[in-house]
Amino acid sequence: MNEIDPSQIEIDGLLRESLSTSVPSLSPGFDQRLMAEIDRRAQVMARWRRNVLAGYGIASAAACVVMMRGQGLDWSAVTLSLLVPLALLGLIRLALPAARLEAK
Amino acid sequence: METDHELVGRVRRGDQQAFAELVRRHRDYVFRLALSVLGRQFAPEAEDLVQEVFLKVHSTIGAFRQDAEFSSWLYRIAFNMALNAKARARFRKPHAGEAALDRLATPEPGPHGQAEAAERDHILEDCIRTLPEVYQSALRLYYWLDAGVADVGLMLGIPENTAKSYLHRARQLLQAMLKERGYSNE
Repeated sequence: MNEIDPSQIEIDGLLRESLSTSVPSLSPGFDQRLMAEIDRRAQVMARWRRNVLAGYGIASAAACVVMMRGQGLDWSAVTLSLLVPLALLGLIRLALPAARLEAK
Repeated sequence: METDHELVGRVRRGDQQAFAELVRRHRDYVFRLALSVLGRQFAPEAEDLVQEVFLKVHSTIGAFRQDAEFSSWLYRIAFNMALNAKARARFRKPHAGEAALDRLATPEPGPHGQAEAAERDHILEDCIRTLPEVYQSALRLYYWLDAGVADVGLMLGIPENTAKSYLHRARQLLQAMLKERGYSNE
């Protein structure tokens, strides 16, 4: 308990009387609303990240095609040089979860 | 029971249940802190503010340094966001009029007594609003929101003795302001 200085007893009483109004509380379901909003924002962020990544991938592939064609490579070599790394990436993504499972 | 730090670690690994537990532990403190900054006029904004605070904490939890107390970090964010919200809210009309708030504060019999009490509360509220923000918060937490001195210190991120001296100083300043306005409680 806070000891009140005798010279402040009057103002202490006044504050107690004046500020003793009902205290609001958080509405029921606050937690559920908050967690739903967090989920919604996480989904928006994930979609945005996917779109940015896809845009970056498409732009880089287009730039590579233009450069490789500019160097005189034929279409089959250009297609191979784009598809082989993509296929490798796919294989790594497939292999990683299996390796993790084995490690466990 | 898991500590806040353990829960923060789980949140960082993407565990939403751990975040829900942190919310459950701290939401009432954050709500009271928001109310103490915003005051009675802007109480309806406090719940939205609490939601914004937790959304910010969720998105920036990676920046939290584990050597500090999670609650101190959370309450500091809440206090700063409440100050910003209050600065914005000042340009808008309060949800409840002053008269309605005064009626709430004074359930006294007789129109004369009510009018006097309403005037007293109005003057007092005016004086409180001119105090430094941290004094206003300390007063509202202690007198309105029933927080003990230790909780006032915890929520404002100051030691208990400092909270005590803030309350003392705030009362002293109020006394002087009321005297200047010619108000006496006798």
